[in-house]
Amino acid sequence: MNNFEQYRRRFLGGALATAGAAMVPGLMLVEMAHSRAPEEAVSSKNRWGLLIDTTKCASGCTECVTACNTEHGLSGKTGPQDAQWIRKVELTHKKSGAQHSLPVMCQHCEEPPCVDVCPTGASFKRADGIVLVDRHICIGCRYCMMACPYKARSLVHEDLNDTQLAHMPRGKGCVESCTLCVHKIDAGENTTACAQACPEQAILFGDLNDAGSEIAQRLATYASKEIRADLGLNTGVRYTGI
Amino acid sequence: MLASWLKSAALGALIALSPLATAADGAGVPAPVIQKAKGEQCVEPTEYMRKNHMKVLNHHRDKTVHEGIRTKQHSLKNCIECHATPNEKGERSVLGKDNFCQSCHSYAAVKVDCFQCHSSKPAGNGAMHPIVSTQSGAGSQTATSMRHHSQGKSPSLNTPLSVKDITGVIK
Repeated sequence: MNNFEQYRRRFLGGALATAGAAMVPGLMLVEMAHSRAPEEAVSSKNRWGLLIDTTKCASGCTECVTACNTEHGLSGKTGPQDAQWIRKVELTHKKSGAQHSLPVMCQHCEEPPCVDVCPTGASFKRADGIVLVDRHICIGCRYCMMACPYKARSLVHEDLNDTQLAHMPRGKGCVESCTLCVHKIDAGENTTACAQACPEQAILFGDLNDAGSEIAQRLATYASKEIRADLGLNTGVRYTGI
Repeated sequence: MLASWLKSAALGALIALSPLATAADGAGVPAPVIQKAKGEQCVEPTEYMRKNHMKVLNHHRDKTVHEGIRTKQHSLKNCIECHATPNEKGERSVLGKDNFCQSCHSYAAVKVDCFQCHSSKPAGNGAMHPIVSTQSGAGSQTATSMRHHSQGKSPSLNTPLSVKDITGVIK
């Protein structure tokens, strides 16, 4: 190996090492752009939502409901006084007889009627579009339950006797509904229990504001519907195939 | 003379012993049991926390619920993580006659309503949760590096990066 060859090799090695050192912070930056730091507040840069493909959703399948119940410590009972965050709804077209099955949960409206009617400010919309109940302020008046066009909210009627899960505080006398798995979003997991559990991958979670996200691209490509679009609530949960 | 000295001595002894006698009778409220928590140091000085823990918790709860800020330092979950000790049933909890929250709150006769909704038990068995770091943001660093590690793309400065490592990351 002559001197020139040695020099060439050293130069190339050095160049590669420099490139490597430059890339490592780049790698971190790309990663950080997707997950919020724990001390950073949520912002309207994101709007979280779901896209549900009803052509894939099987009639009688309740995997998403079960996963939701397990994730949040719900009893799974379906009586009039039991908390249900997701309900499976079966639709039949009156003329054609076409049948659809779809999960209906809080639709995370941009203009939520539950927030409009709440007398205490407990029902609120987070900056990233998730509609929640602040149980510290909720007085259990149930106005929001009446205002919701989707029957998405439930009141906890009975004492839960310290059976709550550590990540999901719930209590008697408070109204509650789907949180879009806010604890997962805040932990940077960016998915929901229902989306993870669906055996047909009929539920897609994502950021409606991020044009590059799968959900935004699918919404831009295929026709989708909001339930009761006539109310002009601009829901965060959209459906295809109905 | 002697009699009067004896009388005053007896009276003095009685006065000196009287507080002890009251305490021994058990007439007062028993002092709270403060059980040893995990770790060496609380997230704030102990004296500060004794007076102000409720303010710290209320402030943090609003930040968490409304702004999604879930830093560990002032979170109720984190309090429970360190301060839960076995109760009468043998479960780790902050509630129970001699357990951290209830013991003091009974003594002070202040109702604690956190646990009407919040779980009084730590998540899991607690073995996976490290002791709190007082440096903010330290948790996120660990989580990021753990995620990198789990995805098999842990960046190491010791080994040179190959083109394969960075394909698709930088566009």
